[in-house]
Amino acid sequence: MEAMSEYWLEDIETASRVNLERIQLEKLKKIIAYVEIHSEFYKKKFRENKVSSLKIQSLKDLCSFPLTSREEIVKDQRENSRLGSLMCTSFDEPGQTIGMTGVRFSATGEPIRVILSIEDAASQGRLGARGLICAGVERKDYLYIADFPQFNLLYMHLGLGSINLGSTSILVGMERGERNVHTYTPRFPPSSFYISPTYSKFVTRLLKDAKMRYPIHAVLGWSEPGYSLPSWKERFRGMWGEVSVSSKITICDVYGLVELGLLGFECINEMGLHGFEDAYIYEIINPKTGDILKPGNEGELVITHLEREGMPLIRYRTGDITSIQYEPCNCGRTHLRLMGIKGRLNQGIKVSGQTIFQSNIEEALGSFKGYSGDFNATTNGSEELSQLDINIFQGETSKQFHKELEDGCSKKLGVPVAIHLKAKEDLAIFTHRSQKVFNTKDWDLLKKEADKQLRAEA
Amino acid sequence: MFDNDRRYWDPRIELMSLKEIKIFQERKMRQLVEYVYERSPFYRKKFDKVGLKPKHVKTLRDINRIPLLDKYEIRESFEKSVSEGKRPFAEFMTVAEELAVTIHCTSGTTGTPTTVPFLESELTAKGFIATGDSAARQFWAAGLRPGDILAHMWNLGGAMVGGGNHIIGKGACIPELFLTVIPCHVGNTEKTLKLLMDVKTTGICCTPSYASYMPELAKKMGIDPKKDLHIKSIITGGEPGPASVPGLRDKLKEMWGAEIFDMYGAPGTGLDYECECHKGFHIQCDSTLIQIVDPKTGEELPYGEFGSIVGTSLGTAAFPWLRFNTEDQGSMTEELCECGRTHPRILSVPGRWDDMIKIKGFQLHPNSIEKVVGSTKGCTGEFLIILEKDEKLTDHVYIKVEYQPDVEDVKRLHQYLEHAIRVVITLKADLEMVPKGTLERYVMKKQRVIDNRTKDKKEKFDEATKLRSAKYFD
Repeated sequence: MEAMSEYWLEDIETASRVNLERIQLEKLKKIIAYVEIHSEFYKKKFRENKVSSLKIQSLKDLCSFPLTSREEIVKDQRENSRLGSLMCTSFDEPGQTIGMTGVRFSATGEPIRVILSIEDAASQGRLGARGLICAGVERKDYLYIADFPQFNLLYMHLGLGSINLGSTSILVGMERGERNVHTYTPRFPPSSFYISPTYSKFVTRLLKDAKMRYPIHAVLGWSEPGYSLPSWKERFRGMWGEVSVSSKITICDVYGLVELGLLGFECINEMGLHGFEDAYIYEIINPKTGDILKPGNEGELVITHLEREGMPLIRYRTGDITSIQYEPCNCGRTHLRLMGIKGRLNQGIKVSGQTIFQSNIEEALGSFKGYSGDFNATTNGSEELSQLDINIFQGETSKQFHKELEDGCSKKLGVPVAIHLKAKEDLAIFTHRSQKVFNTKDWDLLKKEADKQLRAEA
Repeated sequence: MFDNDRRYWDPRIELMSLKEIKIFQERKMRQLVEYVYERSPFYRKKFDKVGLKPKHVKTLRDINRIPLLDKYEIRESFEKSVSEGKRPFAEFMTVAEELAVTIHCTSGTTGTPTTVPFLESELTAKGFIATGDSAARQFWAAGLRPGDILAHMWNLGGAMVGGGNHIIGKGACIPELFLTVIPCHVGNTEKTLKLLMDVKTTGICCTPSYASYMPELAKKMGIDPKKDLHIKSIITGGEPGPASVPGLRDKLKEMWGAEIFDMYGAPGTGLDYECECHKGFHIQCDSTLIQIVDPKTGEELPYGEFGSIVGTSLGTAAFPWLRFNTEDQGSMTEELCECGRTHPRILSVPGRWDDMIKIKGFQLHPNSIEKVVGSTKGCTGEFLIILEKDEKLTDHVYIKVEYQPDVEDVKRLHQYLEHAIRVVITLKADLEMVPKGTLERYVMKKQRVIDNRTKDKKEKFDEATKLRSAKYFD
């Protein structure tokens, strides 16, 4: 039998669908009316599309509202000074926080600036606590939060979540891992980690070299593909198992965007990411037509804020590909689940009619036991390729294994694959967070970023 | 609720008379002593050793009977607890350690960083360092008002400089802090500058060296900090800043076109801030008690005399600081400040006692050289002290000083400086003038001294330069 985990807010987390939808509808009406009054951006947009809060009778009416894209916000913020016409609060309000997206990589386009009010931060803190409990973090735990802190509101939400939960958080950031491992871990034996898949490789190696073993039982990470892929889960479990003394380690994926907040946490059953339906409305659309897709189908995730004062976003296109499921999980939570984040829409490679994402390649390669874990795949923009070229670093390899990898990948991905063995210097290998699929023109930028990440550890 | 024209954040507290302050402090002191004696095994042992009971501590003078606390004692207590299989703070804390929700660190100026746990209630409570009322008081005195945006440029992870992480706690989202805060972190400076420009940030809180590094980078990017940015106040802290380094305030003012405020903070001393008069650091006497003691004998010195700063955080706390010796040096005055605030002030914190170098039996304070170099026209303010031992095992001091590109007569400047430095350090030092930009700039904590006198230390330095040359910033 699978273990039942504790809840943070049992009434909400296990609410029936009818009740959940009632809560959502109430909050939706409020938030649409709120942005109509306070946000110039939406005032204009709604008028153009002839929609208003008065027309909302049921949740289905939301689909008549226009979608909001990242580019629109960037344009708005470029034209209007400060935080653009999206901002609903005034700077006179005390205790607000400003964050920014896209700090880790400039390759993902122009950044968006975001503002949170006190209440927003508190609400995210509550979601953080809920998510941490969901992922199996306990009150007596020492939780190490290793994320990049600059302008990163998610880092703050997690810290707040841990404070609400009552576990002891140590915000180590993402620098000088070696120093942190030697100064903090002997004093405060870590029992849970919030760490990116890429960085966890680095940290487990440090712990292993120092011959340190701790009662680590929960490892959470962000939306970088890795923690939600079954084959990689086992790989990471093995990696953490070598430095942990506890018998069971849960590897949980966490999904969140700076402009939106925390969006999903996996529970200890590791069966997809639990959403927070009382705080957001999740929709899956066909990225080309904008039509809403039925549950179970893959498409672009669209989010509507239900609890936000600073900068609420209505039907915001995240650009992330995923699918949703409404069946309740074994842990008893009734909110929908996101079945793994496949990748960013603009970061896929088109190969003979199919779009291949980083997660697809990771999954295909990850199932080979002898595979080392580092690869690069490049595109030339929107041009469709006839074959997928993957560069990997593999040390000494037999020809047979090379062939095995190539064939296996072709079979799993359903497109022709060519695997090239490369030296380490010819690949962009990251320490903190990986971007393994990219446009060839971004190569210099990424290589620089990879160097920077490695240097920060020195 | 806010009257933005008012001069003080909280006039009731800030304009209290000295007598009232004393009564207030005495009452809180008695509470604290009773509380720690009852609940912290560490302090109980410390008191019992000298045969002190809480009932003996009645007036402010009586607290001198409590022995001083230093960071080594705290570290020892941690290690003892760990070796006994308990949680590290088990001995020290006044409440069950499981209640701690987050652990913060000091910057570790003098070696291993000191770690401090916090409870949830402390992160939200008024008066907590850097989050609540005391931070609001400081930023208000620095001329920031509701509607202003503060860029918080402390390391938010890794080497958590005291205060830096509080922002992640509940610091950024408490009503007492009337500002909008940006968690900027350190590094990635180009993006930070761009964001500062885009959102029209009006205040910056960072180290003095980072404040002097940013405008240089901005100029390279084609941004004029005076025109393109809208900074009106810069609050610096974490290392000897504008209050103790002459010339630095004017230099920063010139670079940014903003008012520069210094601050001083160490465990137990709260946040001591400068007002618009820039005449010393106002102590927040309602939450801290500061004493100046003789560094050798540990005896309390009267107002006006120079010694080590000892801090006590008043009121009940989970992690009590009772007579903590910060090893920083300074003096105190109770004269009324021109700004009208009544609380006593600390006058200049030039550096730590353990920054001091012993050479040929003399004490060499890098800060005294900093003073000379900072106030001499034609110097950039950057310098480096190198200590060497020759074959005869005699110590030698070499000092490298950077000069501005527009200096014509370098030789004359050299002569002048040689004399001026000789006067302050009473030692013969070989001086070398180097052009601007030669000495590496360390943005976080400036490295002023390289000690090559022992081989072991030399290796350490080589290692450090290797890391440094990997350019930590950008």
